Amino acid sequence: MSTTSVYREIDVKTQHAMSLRETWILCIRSVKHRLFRSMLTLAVVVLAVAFFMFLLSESLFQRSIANGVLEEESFNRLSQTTLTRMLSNAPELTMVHRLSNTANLLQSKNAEKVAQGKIQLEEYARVSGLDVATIEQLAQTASREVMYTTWLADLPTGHRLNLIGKRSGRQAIEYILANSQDFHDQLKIKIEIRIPGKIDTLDAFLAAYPTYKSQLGEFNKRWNNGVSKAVERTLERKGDQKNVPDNRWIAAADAQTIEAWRKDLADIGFQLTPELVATIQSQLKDANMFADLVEALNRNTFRVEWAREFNETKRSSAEEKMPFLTDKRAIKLLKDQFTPEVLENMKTRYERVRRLSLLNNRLAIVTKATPSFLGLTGRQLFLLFISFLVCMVGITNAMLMSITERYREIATMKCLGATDSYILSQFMMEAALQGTAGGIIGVVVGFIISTVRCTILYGSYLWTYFPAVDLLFSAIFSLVAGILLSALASVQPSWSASRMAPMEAMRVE
Amino acid sequence: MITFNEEEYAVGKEVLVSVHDIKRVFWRGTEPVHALDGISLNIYRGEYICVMGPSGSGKSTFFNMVGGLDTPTAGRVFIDGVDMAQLNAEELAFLRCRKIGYVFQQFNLNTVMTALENVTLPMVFAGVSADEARARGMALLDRVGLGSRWNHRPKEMSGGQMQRVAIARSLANNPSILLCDEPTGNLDLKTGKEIHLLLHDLNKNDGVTVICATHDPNMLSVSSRMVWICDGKIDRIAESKHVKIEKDSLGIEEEDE
Repeated sequence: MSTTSVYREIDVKTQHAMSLRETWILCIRSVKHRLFRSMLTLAVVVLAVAFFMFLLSESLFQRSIANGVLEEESFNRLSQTTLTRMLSNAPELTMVHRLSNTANLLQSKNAEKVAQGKIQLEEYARVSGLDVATIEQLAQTASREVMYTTWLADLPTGHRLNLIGKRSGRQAIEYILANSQDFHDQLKIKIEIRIPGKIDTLDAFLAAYPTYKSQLGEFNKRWNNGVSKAVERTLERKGDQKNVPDNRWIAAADAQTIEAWRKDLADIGFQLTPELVATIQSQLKDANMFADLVEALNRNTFRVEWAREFNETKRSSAEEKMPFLTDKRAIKLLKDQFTPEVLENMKTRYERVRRLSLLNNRLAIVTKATPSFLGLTGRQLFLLFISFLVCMVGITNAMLMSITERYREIATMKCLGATDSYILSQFMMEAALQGTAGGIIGVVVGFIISTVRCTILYGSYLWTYFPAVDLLFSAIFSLVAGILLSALASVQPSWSASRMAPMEAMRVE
Repeated sequence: MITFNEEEYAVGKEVLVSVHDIKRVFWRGTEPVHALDGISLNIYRGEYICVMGPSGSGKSTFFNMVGGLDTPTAGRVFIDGVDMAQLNAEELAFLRCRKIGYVFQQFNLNTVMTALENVTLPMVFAGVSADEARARGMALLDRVGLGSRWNHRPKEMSGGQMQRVAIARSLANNPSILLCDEPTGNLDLKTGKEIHLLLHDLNKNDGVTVICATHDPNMLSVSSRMVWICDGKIDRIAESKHVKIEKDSLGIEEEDE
């Protein structure tokens, strides 16, 4: 064997380093050439991101609409709740629920709700003559009481019988208080029973319960005194109209009388601003008219007339007649009592209220569950988590496939002089490109699907309570998730492909 | 039988590839498989060397060693005076890009690219400007007789045409060595012959060193030297002029002088 020539070194500096632009051109060319395959990978990313975005935005829509519906319903009941609060004696249990609501408002993260809660606290303090701190304490304990009684009532029957027998509500709590040792023993044995919050909190509540109960009784007595005073003043203001119901009287009273009445009640301590009174008046007018209409529709003679006019064999109820109020025949029948405009108003009002209660029923699952994160319920979060997993697995699989099926191509490119870093960057670039394009399309598709679905389900409520900021946030989140997942999923296969000896890679089939 | 006299043969020739006692062990489970078991060989510039041997003899492994596609378990490989074992990944890429051209049995063309794009791909890696690459690529395609089909994709071509494109691609950066791993293995006899003639032409007229693995006896007529590998060892080396093909067989006729 002859001696070889002297050892020479290679001057790698003369080797061309691929610029990002050149890589980009090759990457685009590669995607363009295998457009169908790229589209397939893209479609997986689109599907995954769209699915995720769909669930996320629909959850946000639902939450937003549910909150809106609740608010609207409570506003519709404003006149009724205010009058009940001021003019009728409250049993102790009602008071407990009112106080609990106040405590919930105070604990809310929404500044508006906290302010509302504070106003309520001050009203309680003014009317009862107790100080705000005491009432706040009472309210908090009341919210605990509601929490524990609900928990006890919702327990599976077997457990409930073991713990409290057939008692319910306050009786149950008093029973637990009397048989505290028993209760704790039972809890220790039946570990599947989960109490809300810590056991210490429950113990503290039980220990404070007798004091709380007497304090609450005192507060309730003072509050009902205030209510009695309010009823007296209202009777005085009514003058000779003593037999007219409160709601009729308030709706019909002139501005001066009503302002004087407002001042009377505000002196006792009730929270009653002129704006609130105006709202109550207009709501009452509306409600009274609606009640008149229902009464008219239910009148026996009228029902006969209606049936004759509409050629109906059976006599329909007032509710069944509501949709036909704008019908010419109905207008003719009702023209003595109501103008056509009023009838049209009533019809819209009826439909609005009906739709609202329908939505409230449909969204009960959202409104009843306590929100845990982003205002979303546990069930929604669980669904989101699952869809995220599906998204992750789908994208990872698509990216893995698109690279492993090109091992031979990678090996050939290495034989032709491609460096490891070039191969890595080309494939990462392709993945990022597909991730970005797929992410954007997916976000748009998911948004469109959820919007269409929610428009069908909730109609104009979707646009009234459109959660724009949250939606933008969720769109960015889905997009970033899509891009990151695609890039991350392709790091490992393209890294190992770029490091593989060409012959090894070629042998992989 | 005439023994190959290396000293006589090497007179006036420059060593291009030098292989020193290379070994390559693959592991099949816990059992070692000696694919190459100590091969030493010098290949000279301008040679057309044919490597022959039955399947599983270690031909392809030998090729991968020489081409820098695989690293030997033991021994050293010098290409143009450069020790392959000392190179890092980047330097290997450089070597593959500039010094070695590969022709595979399976063609290994990029199926989604046109003929011209396939040929110019190594030039892109070498940093040749797009215009120059196109001009050189067209010239190379003309050289292999496919100038008119530059815009066709591999699936629109016959096997022979694909192999021509592959040869044009392997010549893209003017390599010193052309490594052909059974270039006619997937082709019929007639096209195989055409490929042989093309390789021969390139060797004679363009001075490309060709290392070729083959089963094809037609190869004998175009090569200058033949190496037989068997069980990972060099079985025999002979100059082509001393080798004669029997009809329907591939053997060596001993010549008495």
